[in-house]
Amino acid sequence: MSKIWSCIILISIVIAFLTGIPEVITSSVISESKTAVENIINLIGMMCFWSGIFKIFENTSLLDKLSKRINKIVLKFFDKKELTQEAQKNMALNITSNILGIGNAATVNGIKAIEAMASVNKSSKPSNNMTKFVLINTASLQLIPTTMIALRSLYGSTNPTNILVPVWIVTIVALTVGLISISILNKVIK
Amino acid sequence: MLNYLAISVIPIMIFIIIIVGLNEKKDVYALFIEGAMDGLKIVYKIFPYVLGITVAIGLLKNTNGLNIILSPIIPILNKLGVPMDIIPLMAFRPLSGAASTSLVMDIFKNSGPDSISGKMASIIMGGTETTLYTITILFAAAKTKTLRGTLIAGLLADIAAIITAIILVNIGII
Repeated sequence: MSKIWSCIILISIVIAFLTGIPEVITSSVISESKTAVENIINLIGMMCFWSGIFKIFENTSLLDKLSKRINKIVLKFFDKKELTQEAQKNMALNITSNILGIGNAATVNGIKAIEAMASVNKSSKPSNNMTKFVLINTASLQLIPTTMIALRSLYGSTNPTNILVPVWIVTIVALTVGLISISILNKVIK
Repeated sequence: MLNYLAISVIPIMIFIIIIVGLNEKKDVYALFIEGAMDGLKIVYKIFPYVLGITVAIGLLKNTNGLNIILSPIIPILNKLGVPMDIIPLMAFRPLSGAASTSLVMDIFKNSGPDSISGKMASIIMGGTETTLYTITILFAAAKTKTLRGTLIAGLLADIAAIITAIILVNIGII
């Protein structure tokens, strides 16, 4: 990230001098910083609101109940012999939190799940279960992309929620491609 | 029908969460405040990233650098129905959540959320994750030495997601 960021800025400055508009850099730094502040201010309210709502959710029994159901489906993708009870429980909580969009809970449970998987993994390389689990986490399972919907309506969209179905299609395509790729790569890269 | 379902989902979700919370005798309001405070901390933490990326990309755009760098592939991308302002988002989406959020807000501000690029940006953001970040934290917790195929598979999934989003908007599904 450090290299990419530096490159973008350095290239911009060089281009500005080559095309004889160095003043654009100075004025852009001022105007773009202002844009960043405006954008973040737009984000604050709804970010806090959703964090608040999801905090209530995390503390109810709904999360546990849902994750038990999801567990049955999810386990089909994994090699059950290598999964401890601890790993299974946290995996289900992680995937449920991902589906519901509770990012913080998903991260915590995801870390617990992979630690449990690592503790029974004898190799220094990740097991097939671990690569598959991480891959599922790199897909956006979130059923309702609340942040995007809120941002869309904030910027004046006439129909902020019309992205739902396309988002689901994209998620399914990405997850399918990802799972097929990881199954093949698990055999190729040992 | 589907559209009505889509607009009802958020109100119903808030309704159910509060009802279940009350039913289980939780201090719903205190929890909400606690969560909102966490949200504030997140915004506080991501602001420097948003600032860094917004300014860097802004410089590249305003000096016309983006056009110059992409000039060889612009005709191809135009033919494929990819708007210019989506390109930085495609590049940054797997790398940084804060960066891609600020790019999306930029697109919304300049072209509007219902424009072609606004729709594509919304779908790409909603349908993908910050692949690199996720892989980093999970494998760091597992203390493994290699990633095996995870990064390649994750990026292939992202590419598939972006292509699907572009196709869906171009065929006018939304």
